[in-house]
Amino acid sequence: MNQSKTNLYKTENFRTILVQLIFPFISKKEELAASILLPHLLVHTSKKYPTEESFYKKIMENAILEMSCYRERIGKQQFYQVMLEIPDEFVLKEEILEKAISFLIDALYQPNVIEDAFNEDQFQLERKSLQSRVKNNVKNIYGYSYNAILDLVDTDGYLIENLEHNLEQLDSVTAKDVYTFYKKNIQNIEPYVFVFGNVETQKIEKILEKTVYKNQFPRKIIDKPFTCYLERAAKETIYKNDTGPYHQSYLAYAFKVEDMKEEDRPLLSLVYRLLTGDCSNLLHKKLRDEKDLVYSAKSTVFHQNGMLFIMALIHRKNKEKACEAIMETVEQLKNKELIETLLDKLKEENRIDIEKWKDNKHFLASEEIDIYFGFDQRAEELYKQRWQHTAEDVTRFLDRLKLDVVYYLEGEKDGQ
Amino acid sequence: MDNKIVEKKLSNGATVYLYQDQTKHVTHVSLGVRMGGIDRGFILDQKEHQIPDGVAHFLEHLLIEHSSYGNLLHVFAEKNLSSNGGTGSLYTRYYFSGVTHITEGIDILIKAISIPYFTEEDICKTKPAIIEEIRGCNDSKMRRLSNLVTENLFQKIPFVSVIGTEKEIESITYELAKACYDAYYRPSNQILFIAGNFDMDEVLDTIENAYASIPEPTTSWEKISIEEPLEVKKKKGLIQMPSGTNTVQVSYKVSIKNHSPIELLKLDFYMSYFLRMNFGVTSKIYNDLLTSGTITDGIGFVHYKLGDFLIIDIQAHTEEEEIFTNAVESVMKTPIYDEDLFDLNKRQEKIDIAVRPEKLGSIIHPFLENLLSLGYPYLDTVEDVEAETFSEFKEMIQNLDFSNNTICIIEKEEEKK
Repeated sequence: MNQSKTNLYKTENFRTILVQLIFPFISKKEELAASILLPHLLVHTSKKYPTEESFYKKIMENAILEMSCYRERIGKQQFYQVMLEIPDEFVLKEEILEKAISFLIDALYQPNVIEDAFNEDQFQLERKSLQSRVKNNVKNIYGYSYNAILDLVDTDGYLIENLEHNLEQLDSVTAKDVYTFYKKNIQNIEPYVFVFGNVETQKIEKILEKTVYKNQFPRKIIDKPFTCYLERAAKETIYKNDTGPYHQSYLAYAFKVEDMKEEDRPLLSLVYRLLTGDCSNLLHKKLRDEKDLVYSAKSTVFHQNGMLFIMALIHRKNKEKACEAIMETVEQLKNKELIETLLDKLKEENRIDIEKWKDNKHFLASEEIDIYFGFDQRAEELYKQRWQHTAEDVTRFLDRLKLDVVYYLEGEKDGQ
Repeated sequence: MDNKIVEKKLSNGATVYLYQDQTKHVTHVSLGVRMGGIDRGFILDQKEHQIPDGVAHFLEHLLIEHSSYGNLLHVFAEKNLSSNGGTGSLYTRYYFSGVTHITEGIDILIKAISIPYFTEEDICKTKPAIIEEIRGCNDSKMRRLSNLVTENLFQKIPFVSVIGTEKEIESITYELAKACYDAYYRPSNQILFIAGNFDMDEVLDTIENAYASIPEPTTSWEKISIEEPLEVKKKKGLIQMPSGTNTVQVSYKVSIKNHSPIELLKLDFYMSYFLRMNFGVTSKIYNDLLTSGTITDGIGFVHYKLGDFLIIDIQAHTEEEEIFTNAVESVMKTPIYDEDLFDLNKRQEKIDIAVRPEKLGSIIHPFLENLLSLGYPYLDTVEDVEAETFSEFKEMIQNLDFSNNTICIIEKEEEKK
């Protein structure tokens, strides 16, 4: 038995079993569309169940609550995360674990392929569906603006490696291309296996031996860096103005950490929490409570890229006031007395969050995967690292947080 | 172990529901008020008041942002309680969750919501953020579609959207807000739902003491009901806006006026099975429309109660409006009743219910929907589903009248050259 291969996290706290399979891969830019389409083709049909109808019925018969496959990126490392969720036998009062896992493995390794290509009809359906989603995304104010900002901040080509920036590739990729990609990255490759729930070691190992480990395929190694820190787009801040057919206007400030290193992550996280954490919420208090400029303003942190965004949806008449308010908020971060008080509160908020997350099985399962591969650390460890920093550390760190891009999309419909 | 919900009726008319689960780290507290976007009018001390769109949502903001404790979001955050509010068509909910300071939070929540503190100035201060929220909704395809559907469905009930328009918000006065508050926000119109890891006696004491400090209402009130006919107001509607694809929705208005709460609960399940059977991945229409290229994505469907009606929305991204709507109407005229699929759906539902206790959210939302939307003050159980039969399913669905619908379209706006 290959006991060391399976990462089993036995717990009686939940009523379901999560089986997660990780397939690491690296794709070239020209394989982007294939790499994004592939997961859709693996979890809707298979060789044995070549129609969505028959496949879906089988999912229901096997009492599968969820079966999904996603493409994920952590820095320069990519992987497919395949997830199977089923009720445990104490809930269902019948044995379905082996059937469900067999069904999943069969779908992954016996896909709906004809003559060295994915089934053309199914491929066209999935491609059209993705095309539709991407087209809708770039037409709404969030999708449009977000991709416009990425264009400006991405000095590596990492962030714009998405379908919104590569629609022509999605239009031209073929079913054969996707199958070629599948052969390189899933076929004859054994995934890393993580099982989370109330299941006996011997039982799950036996099932996995018959299914996942049966062919003793090799595993791919995860060896790419988990970060992609971005350089500044230019020496001076770039200001970009745009217009669009919207009722609101979109204002975004993108900051980058100069010479970002791994040890800067806790401080970047602190800045983010100061701006947006519940008991701090400097952005909301300034832009909404004090200045009546927004319904919501938020910040987003990109730890792997060393970036922080501040975003607000405003009325165009308030552009200057909103810009001032955002910079005032950032200036507040240099007020050591204020920051000291807020850090104490945020520390307690973080401690409480860690308690809350213990009720969230997906969080707990993801944490184990992150720790196994070294993507991240346990929440308690991050907590210790984060809260050893002082207000002084934060204000010093701010000197390295450079305003890279200011993007403003003016809504032409003026609230009409 | 399956936990049950305990119900306690207080002397002031408020009802408390408690779901204790000491395997959890968190406690959730919801205070629900039976006032939603669809409420149109009431009589308070013999004076009639009409409510435009947006007032229920406006009151939610007002009470959160201008309570006697200050802005409740910040007050709760200081105690490490995550909080928010939400207004739907039928009710408004104020809620928080946390690990510590639960009883303190309950005391604050009850008193803040049940003792009005807002002034005329606060009415003005509340408006800007909501107006920005409205502008944001005007950029949202799904929100615009939802508003169009509601506008087309109702003839007599002038309900379009929960958050209203800028003009409607600007027109809200202190007098109107206070009158709505005095009518709807009395304890007898409130429910409290506590779920998670808490001490039952401690929580009940806190609730009773908090409500004891609140003066009894001295006004009399009643809701004004509007008799809404079955026929829709408009058969078609269209909006042009920035969009990658056209979206077409067929919305049915079905009378369920005489259904009891238990019948509404059963119908809720049966309608889910019916829609999956007839429009889901296993359905003929889905396969035909995908194969012909009429739709590029799946068919979306949802059903919900609105007033005395069941609304069924069936939607797809498609350029072929007529083909899609004809196909939908054809299915609704002669639907399929498949016993094998019924059994599969029933089994799936039993599993979903059995795993619910894993997540408190999976208990809270279905229960509040049952209670405040269907008038059924219980959580659905595996036994409820076990008792379902194919013949009952068929009969209940066949007794519904699907002859009234509206077709609403979001059309891609042409880009300016």
